[in-house]
Amino acid sequence: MLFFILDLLTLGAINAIMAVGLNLQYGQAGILNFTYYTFIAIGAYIAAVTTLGKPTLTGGVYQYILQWRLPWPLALLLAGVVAALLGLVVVLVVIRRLRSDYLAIVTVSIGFIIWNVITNYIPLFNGSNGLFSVPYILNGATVSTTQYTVEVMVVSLVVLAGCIWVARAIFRSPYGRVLRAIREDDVVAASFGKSTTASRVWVFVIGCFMGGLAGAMLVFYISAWNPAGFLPQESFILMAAIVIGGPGNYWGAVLGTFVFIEFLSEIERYLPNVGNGAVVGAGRAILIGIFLIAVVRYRPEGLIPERWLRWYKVKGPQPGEPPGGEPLTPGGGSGRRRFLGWATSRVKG
Amino acid sequence: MRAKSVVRLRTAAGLAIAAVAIAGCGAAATKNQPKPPVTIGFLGALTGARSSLGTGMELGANLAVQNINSHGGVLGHQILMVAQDTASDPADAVPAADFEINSDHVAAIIGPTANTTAVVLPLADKANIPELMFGGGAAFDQETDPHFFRLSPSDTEQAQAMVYYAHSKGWNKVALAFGEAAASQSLVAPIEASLRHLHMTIVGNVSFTAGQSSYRSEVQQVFANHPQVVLSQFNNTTAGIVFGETGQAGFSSTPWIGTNLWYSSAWVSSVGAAATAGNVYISNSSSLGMAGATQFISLLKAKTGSSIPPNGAGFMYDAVMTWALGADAAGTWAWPKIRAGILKASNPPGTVCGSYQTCYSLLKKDKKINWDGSESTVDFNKYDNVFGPFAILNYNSSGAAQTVTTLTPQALEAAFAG
Amino acid sequence: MNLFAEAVGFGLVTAAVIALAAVGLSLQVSVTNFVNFAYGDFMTFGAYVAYAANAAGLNFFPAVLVGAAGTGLLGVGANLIVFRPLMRRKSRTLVLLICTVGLSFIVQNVIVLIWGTNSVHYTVTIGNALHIGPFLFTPGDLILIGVAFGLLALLHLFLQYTRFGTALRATSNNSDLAQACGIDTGRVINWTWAISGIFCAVAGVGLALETNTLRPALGFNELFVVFGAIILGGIGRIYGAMLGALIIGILTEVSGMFADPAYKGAIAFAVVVLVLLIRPQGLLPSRGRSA
Repeated sequence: MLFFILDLLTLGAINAIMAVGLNLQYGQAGILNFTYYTFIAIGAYIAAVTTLGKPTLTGGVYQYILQWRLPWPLALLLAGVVAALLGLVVVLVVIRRLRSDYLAIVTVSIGFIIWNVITNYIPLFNGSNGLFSVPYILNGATVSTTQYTVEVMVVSLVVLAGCIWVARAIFRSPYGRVLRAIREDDVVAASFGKSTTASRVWVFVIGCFMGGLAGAMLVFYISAWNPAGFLPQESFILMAAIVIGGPGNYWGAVLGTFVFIEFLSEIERYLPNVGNGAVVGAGRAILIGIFLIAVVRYRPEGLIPERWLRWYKVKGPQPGEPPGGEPLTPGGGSGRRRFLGWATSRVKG
Repeated sequence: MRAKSVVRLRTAAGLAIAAVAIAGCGAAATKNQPKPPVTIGFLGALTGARSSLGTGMELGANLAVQNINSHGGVLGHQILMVAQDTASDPADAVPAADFEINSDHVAAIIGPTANTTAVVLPLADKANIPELMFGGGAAFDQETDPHFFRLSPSDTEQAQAMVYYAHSKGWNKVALAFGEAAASQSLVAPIEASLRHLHMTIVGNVSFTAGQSSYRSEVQQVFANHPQVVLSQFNNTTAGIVFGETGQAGFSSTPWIGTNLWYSSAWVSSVGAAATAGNVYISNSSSLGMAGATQFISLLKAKTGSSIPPNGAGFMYDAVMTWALGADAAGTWAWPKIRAGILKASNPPGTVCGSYQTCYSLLKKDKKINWDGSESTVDFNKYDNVFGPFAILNYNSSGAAQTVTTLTPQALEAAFAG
Repeated sequence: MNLFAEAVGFGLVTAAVIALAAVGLSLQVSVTNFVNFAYGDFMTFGAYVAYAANAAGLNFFPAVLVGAAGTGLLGVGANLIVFRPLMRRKSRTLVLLICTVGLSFIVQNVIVLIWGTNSVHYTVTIGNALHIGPFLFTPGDLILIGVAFGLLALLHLFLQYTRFGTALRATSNNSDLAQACGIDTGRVINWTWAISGIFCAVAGVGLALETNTLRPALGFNELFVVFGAIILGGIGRIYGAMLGALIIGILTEVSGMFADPAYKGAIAFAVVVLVLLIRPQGLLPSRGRSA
C-alpha cells in the first residue's frame, strides 16, 4: 500500500511537470500543441542515451547513439535542452500558420513523422524494442525500490517547483500579459507593437524544455524507454486533462492531469476485469471525452479558472492609494470583471 | 507514459480453491490454523497487441496453481497468484514487476517474454527471486544470470523446425518476412544459418514495420523472385493487412510457415479467409510424448472443455509446476536454495514423473525425481534453457489446427549438427 | 516500369479512399469552419455499423448504405448536441476543435466497448487480382474506384446545379451573409454533416476492405493522412481535397516501391509540411478569400 501511494505521488509529480509545460504553451499562449508527448519522449531518450554507456547485450539487438556516461543532473539538463531545440525547429516551421486548425494538424503531422523515424531507424533509437537498464540516479542501485521511489519523487518535486516558479514568473510579468493578449486576439496585440511571433516562439521553447525534463525524470524512474509508451494519442489525453483542469492556470493543469491521468489509471487497478481486457481502459477514455465536452460547454475556463490566482485580481488605483492598486481577496466582487478590464487597469497603473 | 495502466487481478478461483482446500482437504487440514499462502507473480500482456498470448499464459498458470493447491500446496502452503498486466509494452512491465516485488512480495515471477525479460530480470536479481520466462529470443541462449529460467525452446530450435519442414517438402527457394520487433527479428539469424546448412536459397528478406496501414510494396518485394515458401512472424494486425494484400496481389497460392505466435483464434479472425485456405503452416511446441502433458490436458479439458491448449498455456503451467516442485525438493522457496531445488527436481537422473501428486509423493519419500513438463522435458542445460519437440500444424477450413507432423529435438539436432 | 505502373495502380485505390474521406471532411470544414478531429472515428463507426448490418444478414451493399445512414445520423446528432450550442455562442475555433477531440475519445471507445479490439471482417468476396494493362486490380478495387468517382461526380453536380448546393456554397463562403440573404444556415449545416457522414462511412468501408482489418483504431490512424490531403489542397476546398488525395495516395505507394517502405508514411507527411512552408494556401490557385 505504501509503495502504491509513493508510486502515485511520484508519477503525479512527473505528470505535473508535463502539465505546467503544456499549460504554458496552450493556456498562456494559446498554441494548440498536439504533439507534446514527442518532446517528452525525446527528453527521455536523451536522458537514457547520455547515461546508459555501452550496450550490454550483443548480437546487434541493442543499438543507440552516443553511449555516454554522464552524471544524471547533466543528463537531465541536456534532455531539456535537446527537447527545447527540437521545439524551436518545430515552432519555426508552424508559427507562421497562426490559424489554430493548421497548427494542430501540422503539429500532429510532425509528431507522426518523428514517431515514424524513431520506430524505424534502428541505429538511432533501437526501434520499437526501446532501451532498458537505464542507470538509477543518486544511490538507487544500492537501495530498495521503495526508497528509490522516494528519492525520485523528491527530485521530481524539486524540478516541479522550479517549473512552477518559472511559469509563475512568466504569468506575472509583462511578457505574460503580452502572451495573453496575443492569445485573445493576435491582431490587436500586433497593432500595439508587440512582436507576436517572437513571444510565442519563446514560450513554446520553454514549454518543450519542461517536457524534456519530465521525460528525463520518467526514464530515470522507469529505467526503460519504449516508443510504445509515448504514442501520439497520449498528447491528446494530456491536452484534454489540461483543458478540463483549467488552461491558463497551472494549478488547474496539475489538477487536471492528476485526476484524469493518474487517478483514473489507478482506479483501473481495483476494478474487476469485465468482458475483454480493454473495457476498463475504454471506459476511462469515454469518461475523459464526456468531461471534456461538458467542461468546454458549461465551464469553459476549466475546473480552476485563470481568475483564481489572487494577485491577478487588481482593481484600479483609488484616490490616495499608490498607482498599481492592491490585490483583492479571492471571491471579491471585482472577480467577475472581464479580461480587458484588468489589463487596461494594469497598463494605466 | 501509460505506466499506470496496470491491472491487478486477484484470482478469485485460486482463493476459492484455497478456501475449499483449507477447509476440507485431508492432507492439509490437520492443523487448526492454515499456513499463510505463498505469493507468486504472473506478468503477462493481458491487454494490447499480444493479449491473446497473455490470456492464454494466465490460463495455464492458473491451472497449475489450482491443481497444486488441491493437492496440498507447496510444502503445505497454498499458492496465491497475483497477475499484473504489461500491456504488451516493456516499459509498462517495469512498474508491474515493481508492484509485484514491493507490494505483493512475490516469491517468484513467471511469465515475462523475450521483450520484457530484459527489463524484469534486473529487478528479479535485485529482489533475489527466480524469474521463469517464456519466449524464444535467441539472445538468451547463453544467459548466465542464475535467477533466469526459460521454459520454452529457443528460437534457434524453432528456426530449425521451420527450415526442416520446408526442406522436407522440397521448398528450397525461401523468402523471409519478419516484423521489425526484436522478438521476430531474433528468428532471422538462426533461420538464415539453418537454411545455409541445408543448402537452401534465400530469395527475399523483408522487414515489416508494425503500425502501417498498407504493406503493398513489402509484399511485392517478398514475392519478387518467386519463392516456394515464405517463413514469417509478425503481429496479428500486420498479418491481417499482409495476407489481404497478398491475395489482392495474386500470390495466394504460395505457402507460409509461421510460428506459435500465429497459433491463436485472434490471429485467425485477424487474417480472415486466407487463414483457412490451407496453405498456412505453423511451427508450434508440441506435447507429444511429454510426461506432464496428460495431467495438463485433462485439467484444461475440465476447465475449458477443450483439449487444445491456447498458445503459451503449457509453458506457464510448466513454470509454476517447476517452481513448486523445486520448492518442495529444497524444503524452501527462499534464494539460493530454490535454484538448487529447481534443478534437482527437473533434471535427470531420477524417476520421471508428470503429475503433481506423483512427483510430490515421491519427493516426500526422499526419492530423486526428474519432472517432465507438458511442452518440454524441462531439463535445463547449463544456461537454464530447455529443448522440446515441435509440431507443424495446418489450419483447416473450419479454423482448427491439425498436426501434420512432429519433429523431436533429437531429429533436429541430427539434421543441423556440425 | 512494371513495378511503377503497379505502384500507381495501388496508389489510385488508396487515393480513392482518401479522396472520399477528404472531400467529406473538406465539405464539413468549409461550412462549419472548424476541423473535426473525430472524423477518423466517424469513419470507423460507419465501417462497424456496416459490419453489424452485414453480420446480421444483410448483403454487403445494403449494409454499406446502412453504415452511411448511421454515420450521417451520428454527424447530425453531434452537431445538434455538441457543436450548435457552441457555434451559436461564437466560440473560437480552438474550443470547437477540443470538443471534437473529446468526441473522438467517446466514439472510438464506444466502438471498443461494443465490438472489442479484435479485427473483424465483412462477408464479401473481393475476387482475385486481374492484370488490366500494366496495372494490377481486384474487382473490389475497381468497384471502389468506380464508387468514389460516382459519389464525387454526384457531389459536384449537387453543389453546382441544385439550389441547396448553392445555398451550401454560399454558407461556406460567408455564413453571416448567407443568413442575411435568408438562407437557413442551421439546416444547411445539418445537411452538410449528413453528407459528410455518408462520404465518411463509404471511405471507412473502403479502407476496411483495402487493409483487410477492421478494428477500432482504423480510422484514427488514417485521419492524419486525410489531413495531409486537405492541407495539400487547401483547407476547405473540395476540389483541392480530391487533388491532395490523389497526390498523397500515389506518392505513398510509389515512394514505398523505390525507397525504404518503412518510411513511406513519413515521406508523405514530409511533403505535406514542405507544401505548407512554401505555399500554405494549398496547391490550387487561390480564390479571393481562403476558407
